[in-house]
Amino acid sequence: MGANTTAPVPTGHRPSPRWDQYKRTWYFLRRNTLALVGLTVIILLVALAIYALTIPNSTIPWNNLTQYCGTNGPFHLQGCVNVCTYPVGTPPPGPNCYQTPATAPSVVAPTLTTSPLSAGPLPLGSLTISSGGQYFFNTYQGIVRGSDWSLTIAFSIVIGGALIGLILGAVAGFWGGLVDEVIMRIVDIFLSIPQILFVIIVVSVVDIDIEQNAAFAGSDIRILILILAFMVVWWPFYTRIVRGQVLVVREQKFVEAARASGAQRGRIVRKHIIPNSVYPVFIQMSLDVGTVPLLIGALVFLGFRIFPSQYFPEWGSVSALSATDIQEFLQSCVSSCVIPWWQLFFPGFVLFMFAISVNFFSDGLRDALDPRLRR
Amino acid sequence: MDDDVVPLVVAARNLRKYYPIRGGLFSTHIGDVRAVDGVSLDVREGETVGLVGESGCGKTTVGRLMLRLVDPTSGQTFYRPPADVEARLDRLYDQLRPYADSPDAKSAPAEAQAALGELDEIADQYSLYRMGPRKMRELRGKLQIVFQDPFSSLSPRMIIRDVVAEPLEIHGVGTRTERYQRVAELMKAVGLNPDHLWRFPHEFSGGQRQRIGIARALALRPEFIVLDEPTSALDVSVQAQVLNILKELQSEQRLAYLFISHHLSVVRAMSHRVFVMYLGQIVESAPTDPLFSHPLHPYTQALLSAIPIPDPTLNRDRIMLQGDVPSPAAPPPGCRFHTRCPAVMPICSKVEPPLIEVQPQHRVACHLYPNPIGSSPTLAAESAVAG
Amino acid sequence: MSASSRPVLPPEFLGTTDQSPEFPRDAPATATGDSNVVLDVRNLRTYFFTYDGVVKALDGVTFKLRRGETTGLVGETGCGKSVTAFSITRLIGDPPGRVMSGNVYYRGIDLLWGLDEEAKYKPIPKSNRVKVKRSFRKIKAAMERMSAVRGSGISTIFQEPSSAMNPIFQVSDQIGEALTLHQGLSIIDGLLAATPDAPEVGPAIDALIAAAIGGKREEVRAAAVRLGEAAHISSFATEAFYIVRGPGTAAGETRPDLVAALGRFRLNPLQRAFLRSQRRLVELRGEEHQLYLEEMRAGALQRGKHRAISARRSRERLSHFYYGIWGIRSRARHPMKQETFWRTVRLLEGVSIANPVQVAKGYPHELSGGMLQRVMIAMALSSEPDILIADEPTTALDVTIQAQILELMRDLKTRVGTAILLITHDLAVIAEVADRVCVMYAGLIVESAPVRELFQRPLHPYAQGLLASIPRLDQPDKELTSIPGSVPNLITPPTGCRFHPRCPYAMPVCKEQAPPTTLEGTDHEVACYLYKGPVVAE
Repeated sequence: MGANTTAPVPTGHRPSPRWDQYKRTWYFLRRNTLALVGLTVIILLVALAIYALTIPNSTIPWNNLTQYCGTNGPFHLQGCVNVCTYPVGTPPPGPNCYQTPATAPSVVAPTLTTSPLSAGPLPLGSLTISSGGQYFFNTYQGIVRGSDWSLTIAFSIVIGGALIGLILGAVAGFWGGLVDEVIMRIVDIFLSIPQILFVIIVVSVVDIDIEQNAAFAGSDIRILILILAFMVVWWPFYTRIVRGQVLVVREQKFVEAARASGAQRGRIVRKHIIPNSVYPVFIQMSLDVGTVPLLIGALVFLGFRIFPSQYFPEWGSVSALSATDIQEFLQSCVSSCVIPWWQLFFPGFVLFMFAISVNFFSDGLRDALDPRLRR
Repeated sequence: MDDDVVPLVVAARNLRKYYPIRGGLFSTHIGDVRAVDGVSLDVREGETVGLVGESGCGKTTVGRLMLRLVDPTSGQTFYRPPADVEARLDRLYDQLRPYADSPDAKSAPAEAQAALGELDEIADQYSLYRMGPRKMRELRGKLQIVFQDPFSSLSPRMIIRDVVAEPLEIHGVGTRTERYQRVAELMKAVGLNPDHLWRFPHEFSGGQRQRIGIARALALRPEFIVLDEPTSALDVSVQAQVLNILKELQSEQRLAYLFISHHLSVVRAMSHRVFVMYLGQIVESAPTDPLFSHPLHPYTQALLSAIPIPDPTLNRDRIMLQGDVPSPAAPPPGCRFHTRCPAVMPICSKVEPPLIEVQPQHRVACHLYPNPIGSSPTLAAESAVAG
Repeated sequence: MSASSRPVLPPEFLGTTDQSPEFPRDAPATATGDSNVVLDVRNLRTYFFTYDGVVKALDGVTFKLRRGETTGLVGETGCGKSVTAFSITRLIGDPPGRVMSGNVYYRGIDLLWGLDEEAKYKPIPKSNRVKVKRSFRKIKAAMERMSAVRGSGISTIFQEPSSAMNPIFQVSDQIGEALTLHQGLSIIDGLLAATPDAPEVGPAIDALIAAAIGGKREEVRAAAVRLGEAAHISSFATEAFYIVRGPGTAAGETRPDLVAALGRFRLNPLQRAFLRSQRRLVELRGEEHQLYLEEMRAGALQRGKHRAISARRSRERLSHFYYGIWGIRSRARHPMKQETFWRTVRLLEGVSIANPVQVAKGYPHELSGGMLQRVMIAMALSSEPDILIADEPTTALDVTIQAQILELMRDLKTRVGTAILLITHDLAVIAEVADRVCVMYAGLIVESAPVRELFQRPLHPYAQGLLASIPRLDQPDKELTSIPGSVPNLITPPTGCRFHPRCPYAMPVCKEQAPPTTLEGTDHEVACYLYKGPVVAE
């Protein structure tokens, strides 16, 4: 192959070698169409997530949905006539209101349900509203708001797991001997735990605790527990990967050279072993970021209460909710039913797009970083 | 070389390194790979000692043992013993020679115990293996190594400036700017352009990388450098450049080199004295010219005749060795070379020949030369005790 | 393919385009009447298209290989010698490399036909890069065409023998694969024609046992050969030899073993059918290779005929598969395996391996580097190629083992007469083995001469510098001079003569134009402005 000699350095220019390396990696990524597509989709979704962080929680007023009534309204609401009530003795606030007896509840829960024909100006489907929870959404809102939750959970699980794995793997690989044995046996123990089952158990147990302890009610602590449960299950994979890489790097001559110069172990691990071992971790991280939301979706679909509310905006949660919703709709529907497939399809589709884009991108990244494929 | 005047930098005595082989159900210890089996070497200031042998003979391990990058199974390496201590060492090892095994054996008669005790004292003071971590760290700068493989001896993720500055940084020498200045000096000393400090190792050719490795070794002003096949991976003309730089540096700074190689022509060009190793033991040692013009040991003779010479008109009688090198885990009994030796005798498979001086400063371990030239303490001390 | 894609043959060639379709082995590479030339490489140009630019690894390499002669290709790292070897048989990875232009004449055909259609080049402005648009279909077809020549006509052995062999197969399986590919017809015909029950066999066995009791190796060998002739199967000679000299039973009691071993030649009908089917497959492959050669010669693709052959081959494969399945119980594959095993043993004997039966039965990881390299040489020579390309065969080996291998190569030269292209950076190895030397620098051949002349009278300054920088055992006080500077960057090579930045004799003209190759003396070519002989090539 071509001779690997230094090209002449232009004078007066202080080269920044790391930047050159990044430029080179980018050049190879650019040439890989699938990776580019993946990257574009990921960037879009991340932008969406950032936007979602800025919008406030809900803009639909619970108690007064009258503005949505009427044929000119954006939504077709069934039972709109029952939307507003007023107790006996007070003047009616507007049309379509009815009088309730004194003992009746002052607010009748609107029986707004999915209307397949009311796919109005809303993109991505119909409106589903519920009064039970703090969160409510429609499919569109579910996707938009769900993006920041899905991505945050995925990234924190993966980064946390990778950090633990990196440290433990480096220690195990470098120190060897008893430390290595102990850590690897712990890894084996953790690997023998079925992942999803463990998460389910943890979440269910904690769920019960939370139910009983009102101080935690409804807060985001559930999500934290979810993330921790996943991290506990995930770190062994990274440990193994890192340890394997460390075992290779440890035998390289430059490590021996560092020792010959008097470097102590901590320095060697920090400056030599870890920078040369992170490459497979990055690849694995990028793959896992796509897998985690899928798993979460699976869990929610199976009915486990891993989120504070049934209507929690998160892609998996939205998909699961839409599915049960469609089930109910099918049961209740009698004639000429148009199944609102879109409300299940689109959240699931976004989730799928995210996972597959991450896969494409990580493939492309691995090819671009691999020194052997680099021509 | 006038032994009495030039100070000794490192002296290795009876180094042995056995790697245990584990097998069976419970990983029991079933044998040893005898990588190094009783090697003694002296290197003095300003001289190059060549260590030759084929792959698997243990020469790389010897280099590492002498720098304490690996701890030996037994044996000592003394750092800068003064002349009088050196004389005492010679006497003590000579005294202990009749007793089989290394001098660290505990089961020996009273006078031997006294000798052992004295040896112990000296070892406590001068032996590398008994120095504490702090002293060892200080010494690391003085005892350096340059590796064979220019590709894996530099961390791929560090720029060259950091690579060469690392030893300085570890020992906290100077401020950052001072360190980088020294790095630039070192680069110039090995003939590299300081503008290239900002590059990664993979952007350099093999010869340049090797020079970077040398620059790194020079950072802390070493006294002794182990050169582990420094030019084997390089082209011929680049090799010449690197060897010339090494010679220059040696004469400028009175460096002591241990030049490990299997390229005998290169060793001849660089070394003052040469040791020939086979399967973990020294089979012959002599100053360069006598060794190459009158090799005594059959292995040395075969080695020298096997080397191709770039002259097509020469028609040489080759000594062809049969078979392959035996495994160091199961070395042949008696003289280890007897299975391939063209001059093998019945005694060779039973008794291991000791390394004895048969001509001035020329030592051989072979039954063909059973008579030593004399037994003055200075010279006999460098024999291997094994056998 | 249109007529415009016919290879442009040099004018003197046109006189003898009337080649017989069988492409006889004596066909000269060029038609200059020199029938000793086996390979004629002209103006080989190979570029690698990388992120950093276009690496001009070879920029016009010209040389000839002659029958029975060992030519050394010498140069340092990065000069392009391995690239040359791989370009000849088109083993260059495509992408990123491409053989841009050039001709490689072998047996009267141009192996590098069709290069221009395979890719189009477009320089990218404001950078060193070039965009290459490849037609992978055509490239794939070209690689397939080369399979007619690789292995059978031109064999290669590589530098690291331990990574060139598949670790999960026995040595005999791997060499057996090569044997079946290249000598399948003769093996199968031999098997089918064996006569284990001929009347001469019995007495021949007795004679062999008598010789074995006598103990003289050559006599036993001769008796075994006679036994092989009696049974009309030559590989049995090898088998019988090792049976009577095997450990364990005494020589006199090996008769039942010999008789039992003969049993492998009594083929049942299913085995015969299997062998015939395999023979047909081998024939088909031979036909396909002939077709490839024809294509390369005529410069025109013959897709119709390919399809016909493929169709027949798929049918034949199917029936072969059925025979194989049906024949599992009656061990249909057994005769062939045994036959290739013993032929392998004979091949290994030919490369001076002392215990060929154990080596053949063993696995690559059990063998040392020297032994593996011998096995590789055996594998490469199993097809009796015209040309053997040896890419740094001894670089990874110890000195004493290297001596053994070089001795083997010298021996093979006289015995077999293959033309060897020996690629190395070690001039000493060249001095030992080669007849002729070509010195390469930065992708060009700068000097080529018979080996003695080069060492006694090196003309090119680079060759002189190279010879001066080698430390020599017999000249210990010689100062090691080195060539100043370093190997040029092949992305931006120096203008004119590529060596001029490092040359002590550089003149102004050297910077402007590359020097032509001139002839100095009868057989000594050099590319340098210092010499003003008759010009041989630009």
